[in-house]
Amino acid sequence: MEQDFQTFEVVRDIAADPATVFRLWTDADLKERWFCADANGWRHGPYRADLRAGGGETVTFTNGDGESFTYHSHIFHIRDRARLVYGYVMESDEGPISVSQATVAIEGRSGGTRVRYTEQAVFLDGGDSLATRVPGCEDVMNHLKAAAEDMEDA
Amino acid sequence: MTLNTGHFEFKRSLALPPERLWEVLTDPRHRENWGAPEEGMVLTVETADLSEGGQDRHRCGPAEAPDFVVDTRWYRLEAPHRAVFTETVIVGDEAVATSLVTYALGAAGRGTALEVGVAVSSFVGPEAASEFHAGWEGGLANLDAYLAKLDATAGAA
Repeated sequence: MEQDFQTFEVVRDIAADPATVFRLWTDADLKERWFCADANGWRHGPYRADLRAGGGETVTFTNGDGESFTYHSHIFHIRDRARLVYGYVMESDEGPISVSQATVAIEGRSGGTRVRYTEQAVFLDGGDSLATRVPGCEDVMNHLKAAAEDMEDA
Repeated sequence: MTLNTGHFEFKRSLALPPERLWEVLTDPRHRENWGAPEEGMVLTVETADLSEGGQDRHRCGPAEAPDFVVDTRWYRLEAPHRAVFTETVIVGDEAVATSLVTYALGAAGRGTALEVGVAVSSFVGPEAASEFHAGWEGGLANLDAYLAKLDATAGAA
């Protein structure tokens, strides 16, 4: 029985205003486009979301080898255009592999928005690790940046 | 936006076997007796749902004004070995901190080796991590005293 606590941060500077970035985190249709963007052989199942404080999300991702991972989140707190705080559990076919709490800070700055994603995770029994979690989150934040900048250009 | 993070762990050897300690750690009636962080403070459980995905809410603070609302979300309950949960501390309408907590219980003779891991995210400044540390230290001292009381009660019965 092993609990491996880790903390990491992903920062992206985005050429879009904070209101646009905030909408991408809190509008379920918009969030599905970037959060569930299929890439690198991954595909996703139905995305169910209620992106208000007290709500949450469920979606299953499957990789090219047929391994599935289900993401369940619970939103603890939202401050308009500034901050979201949520927890999530990631489950493989064999059960939970990690539990995390995440904070998204949205800060207006010259030329756009800085998004600072901070995650504190506990990896359970070696089912996952920082080595895979960080690149995964970096990819997701890249998708957010692209989606926000596309919206701004449209 | 201010965000400060911290992580700390505690290890305790406690006299109760894992099955009984698990109950004391997770049952709201027991938690009210040991969970307050310091002398003169109270912890009152308002709602409880001890199940994976379930949520509890308790109030904490000085008896005359327990203004801290704490929402607990249970993510993993592997009785009597491991629990994983988050706690969000709310004052007024504002979240001031969240924490991710693990309990790991292992049999040690007739008692239990308890490990508590806590990761804190504070939205109100860096001092919250040390306050959480002090709060857990106080709570675990209360737990030790409460277990002694339970043991004495059981011995007298």
